[in-house]
Amino acid sequence: MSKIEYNVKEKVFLVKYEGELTLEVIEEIKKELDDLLEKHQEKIWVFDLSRITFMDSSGIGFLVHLNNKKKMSKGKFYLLSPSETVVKTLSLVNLLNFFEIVEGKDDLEAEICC
Amino acid sequence: MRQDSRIKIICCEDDPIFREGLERVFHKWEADIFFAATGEEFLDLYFDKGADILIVSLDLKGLNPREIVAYIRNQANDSDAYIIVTIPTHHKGEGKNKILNEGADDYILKPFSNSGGEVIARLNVAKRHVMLFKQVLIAYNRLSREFDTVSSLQHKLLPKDSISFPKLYIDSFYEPSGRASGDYFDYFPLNNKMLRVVIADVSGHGARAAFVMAMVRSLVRASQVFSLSPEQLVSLINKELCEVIGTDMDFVTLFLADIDIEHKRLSYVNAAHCPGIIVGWNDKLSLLESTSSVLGFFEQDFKASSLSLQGKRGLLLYTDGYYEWNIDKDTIWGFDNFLTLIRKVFNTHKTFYLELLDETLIGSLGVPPMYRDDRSSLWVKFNW
Repeated sequence: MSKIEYNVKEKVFLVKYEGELTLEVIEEIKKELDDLLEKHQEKIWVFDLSRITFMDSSGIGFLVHLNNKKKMSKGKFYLLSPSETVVKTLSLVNLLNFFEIVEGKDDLEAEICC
Repeated sequence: MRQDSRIKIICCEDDPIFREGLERVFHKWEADIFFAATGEEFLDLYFDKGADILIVSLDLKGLNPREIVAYIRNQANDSDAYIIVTIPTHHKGEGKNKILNEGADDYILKPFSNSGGEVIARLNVAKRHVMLFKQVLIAYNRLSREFDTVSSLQHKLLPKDSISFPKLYIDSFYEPSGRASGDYFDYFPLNNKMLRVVIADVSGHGARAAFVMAMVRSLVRASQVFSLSPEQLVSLINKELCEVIGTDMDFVTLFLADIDIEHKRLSYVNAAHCPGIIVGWNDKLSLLESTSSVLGFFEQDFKASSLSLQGKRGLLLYTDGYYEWNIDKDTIWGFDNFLTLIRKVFNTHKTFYLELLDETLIGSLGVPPMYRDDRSSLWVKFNW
């Protein structure tokens, strides 16, 4: 049973994952998400990270991979409500400013509409 | 699973009529075939000769065939042998289902037809299964040898001995979580007054991480010949990694420092690696935090920081495998606990060596930690 949940609304592809974002799960998630993203060519990808309990270097690499992939296709990539552990991990590797982060769906809607 | 190409079969049948029928069928088969009349004889043959296909009668007298199958699967830990059970057509009850659930792969009803057509067909299924397993095993062993080669080469890329350098003593520790690792550390003199030390961590594990690690090591070592400042070297590594990695997920964190023994100064670049730790003689710890982001994702400017090493005891560098492990199902041990451990070790030991970190941690936990990542560390002690 996949832990990936997603929905598509207008131009936004929103994906959510719960649990640890680590080497042990990344290969599987990457394959599933790459397939999904291939099918859903929406302009905006949003990754809800509010339920991530731990993230290691493979998780960081995965987020950067998604970000770069979307930017290359002239789209936008947002991290939605990253959990404390995600913020701490990205901060440790000086990548917090690399991503566009939105706190909550209201912020996301405000960001998208403009 | 045996790797030679000829199939070996052990057959346990105590009814002479069925046994004769099986011998007649096997006569047409290219295989080494052994017969046992009792369960004990069957197990003796199994341990003595080994086998690819085992045929056991469900109405065997003496040793219970279900116990034989369970023994082979659970005690002998043999999940590869293909086990066929012969079952009398009059057999009633759940014996057939139970023995299949307990580890048998197939069954043949007896008596067989004179031609033995079904028996041959079932044996051909077993043979295909066995041959496929053998091929997988051969491929696995080949890959395993390749990994051993990668691992052995990678170990050679790490410095083996402490070097003789005035006023400095260097200790190192390396423990990969698998056979190939993404950790790298190194130290070498730039001249007779300057020592360069580096520790790096490639994201992920395995051959891919080992390859990127070897690439970083080559660039670092080149700086021993071609004079490059810490900023220039890290910038070069980042540029090369960006070209190779592209939009992939790999990246590198790296801490690189030059120790000037004449002026007792340290100049360093920390590309998002774990904070280097300067230990003072009063055992105060100063953290050398990131000065830039990770390497391999995007272009960036690197600026070295520097500080005086006067009155300092040493420099401790390490990878995050030391603290990214689970204390229980939901809790990561974490960096703060690691810092507390380091404080404890330096407060209680006048002479520090890297194994003290593990020894002290095991002492306080009571059991070895469940590390899940590669671990490397470097301790540079200042003798001034």
